Amino acid sequence: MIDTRPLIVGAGPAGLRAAITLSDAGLHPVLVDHAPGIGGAVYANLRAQPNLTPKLTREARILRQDFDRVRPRVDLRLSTAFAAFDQTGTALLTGQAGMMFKPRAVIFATGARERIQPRPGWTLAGVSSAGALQIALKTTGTLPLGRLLLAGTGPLLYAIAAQMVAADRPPVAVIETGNPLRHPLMALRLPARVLTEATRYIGQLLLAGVPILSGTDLTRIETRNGALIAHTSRQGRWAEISVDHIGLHDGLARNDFGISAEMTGQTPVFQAGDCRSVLGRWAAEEDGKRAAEQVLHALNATPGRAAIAPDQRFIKTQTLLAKLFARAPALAAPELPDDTVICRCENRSLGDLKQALQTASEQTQTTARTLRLTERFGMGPCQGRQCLDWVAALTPDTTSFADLRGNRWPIKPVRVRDILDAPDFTADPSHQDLK
Amino acid sequence: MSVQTILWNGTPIAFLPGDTIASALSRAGITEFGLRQTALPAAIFCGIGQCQNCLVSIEGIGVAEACLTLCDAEQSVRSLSDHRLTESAHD
Ligand code: FES
Repeated sequence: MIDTRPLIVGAGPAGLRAAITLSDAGLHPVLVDHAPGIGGAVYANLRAQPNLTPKLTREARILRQDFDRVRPRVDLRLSTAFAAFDQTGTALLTGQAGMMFKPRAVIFATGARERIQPRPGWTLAGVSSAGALQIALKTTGTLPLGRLLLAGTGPLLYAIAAQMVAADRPPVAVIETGNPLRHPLMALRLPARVLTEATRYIGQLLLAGVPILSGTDLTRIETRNGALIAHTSRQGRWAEISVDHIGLHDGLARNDFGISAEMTGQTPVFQAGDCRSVLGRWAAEEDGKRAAEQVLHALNATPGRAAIAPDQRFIKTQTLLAKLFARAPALAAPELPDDTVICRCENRSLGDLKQALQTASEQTQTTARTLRLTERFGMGPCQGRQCLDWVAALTPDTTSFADLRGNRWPIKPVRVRDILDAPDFTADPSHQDLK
Repeated sequence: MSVQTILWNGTPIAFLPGDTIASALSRAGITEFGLRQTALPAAIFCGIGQCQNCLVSIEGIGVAEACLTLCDAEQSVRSLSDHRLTESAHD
């Protein structure tokens, strides 16, 4: 018996929109997410208790309404992770609603990951991604106790800072390596809805008196008397800021580790949303619909669309934003001391990396393989999501990000018990889609 | 309604509906969830299940991300370093 269910990995805007589109076409998709609710990171408030967090935005409301409408046709499995495929096309889902089954097609909608520049002290408790603070706010309406500081670069920092203001917990400051406010004319070329949103955030910050320290680096963090001390540098001037929590953010990247199409055998595989190209939530939703149409096409259910490139408008917006947030020219390149941790999982430092390159060049050649197998970079449980951007940047003549990352299952660590516990529906799919 | 709690290394910690183990602990002022095998602190970092920096040992589930797991009343949650200390006492 053939299982007719397509699999969608990730219940953010791209995954939800894909599920809606496939359901409307009469299919019964399996939608998995390792989080305990739908929405992904950007719409994490879809899983909050309604009374706790600010009102949903219009697009989040519409997305939920559309999803509620098709909900009976979707096999939604929350607190459940997609782990891997094998060569027979069997997908392994682990966690609360784990199983093994053979999906007819797969859409990966695994979103983005935050890029965070390694700095001394970035492994201290209380230092997290800025996104982690935002998730707490969106899902529970609260933030960790104490003084908050945001640092790094990119539009997301201002969204988060403004949301903190709205929650009556304004950050002590926003430290920004770029000079985004210096280019108002360039900013005017942004699409109206992006510009409106940005203006509102900046307005809220100015009104609340939150200092935006632009052209400034957060160079290192240390603990002193139970507080976190952030050391900042701006054109040779140094300052210290004492806080309790620091949210770091240096932009976004695709969370596409281990999901290349070559590894799924005969099963048609598509990527949608930020995991295909980081273009934000509006583009992600459109892309989820596009990927679903491609699945329908591949399954011959409807005349679908061929692969199309993402909408040029979204790409232009991202290019412009990257220019606006370019690192201030007056800012020196960050100089990291050798004991800076690069790989957090395996506790490997910049010094370890330098030494590996040196000894290797004396003896044999350094490759992505030796940096991984001997030096352990990218081999920990995060699978390199946090360090490989920087290992690649620090070893430009030696290896590339793609080589370092490779493509391997599982896409996240799996408990052996979860594999043993996962019911096996590969021989007899329990759900038959009555198309 | 009485306050619901999880047991963090044996100590009751209050949680609200919708709280993950990580959000309940941070609201209680606990930012360090023990030590990782590398001796670096276990703590929230990415907040969305990607970094594995927040792993804890949860009764009935096993080792899991504090940032992805919702609190359950009376559930015992332990730091992995706490676990390792008790389990590796023989060596
Ligand atoms: S904080 Fe990264 S996995 Fe939980």
